[in-house]
Amino acid sequence: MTRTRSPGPQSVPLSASLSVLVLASAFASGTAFAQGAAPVGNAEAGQAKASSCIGCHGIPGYKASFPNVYSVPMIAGQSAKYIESSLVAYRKGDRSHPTMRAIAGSLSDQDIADLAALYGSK
Amino acid sequence: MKPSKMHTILRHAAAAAVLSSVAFAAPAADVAAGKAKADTVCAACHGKDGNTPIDPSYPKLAGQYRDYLERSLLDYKSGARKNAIMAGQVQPLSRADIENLAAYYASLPGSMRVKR
Repeated sequence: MTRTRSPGPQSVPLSASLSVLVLASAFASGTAFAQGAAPVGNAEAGQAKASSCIGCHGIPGYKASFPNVYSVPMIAGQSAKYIESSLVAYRKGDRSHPTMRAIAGSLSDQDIADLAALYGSK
Repeated sequence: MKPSKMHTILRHAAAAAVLSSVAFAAPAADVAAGKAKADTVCAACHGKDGNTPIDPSYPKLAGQYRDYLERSLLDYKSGARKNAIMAGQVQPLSRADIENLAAYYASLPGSMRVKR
């Protein structure tokens, strides 16, 4: 192998290198965009994932007891997008409730979308 | 013990029971004042009826449990719940405002329910 017969990177014209870079970054951002797109929720899949929810939210008048005593909210019929943003906020730590943080912390974006589809209204 | 003495003790006990039940009873919220506050502060986003938010990412409030609504507002105010919009909205609310708003929205007919 000799340098003269097999051009190294230095011999590639600058404009071609730039094009490759531009294409690569466009592809990368396209991929990032695809990952950022919200997963589509499926209510049936949500039903299979709701076992952590029904123990509290499925009991009329059930009260959370820690760290404050108050009724756990009604979530069936709530805005689906709000259910999603609430679960994301618990997962991220923007909401402090310990039980909900633990549960939301175990949920993927797809899980959250499925639960929102199950409980929420459009 | 003389009957009169026993009687006095019972009367004191009864009075104490009445006083403590007053002390521990939930403070009387003013639903009308809650509505007045809601119409000026909350309705623009959560809907005039509390059930038709202007953005799908905003919650319905109508018919939600009163103590949950109160807790949510208190948590936004303390920072236990972080949301840029709500943090600004609750900042000027007093404890009484929060109690009144919670009582008002809980009193409205809503579409939320408990799903078993």
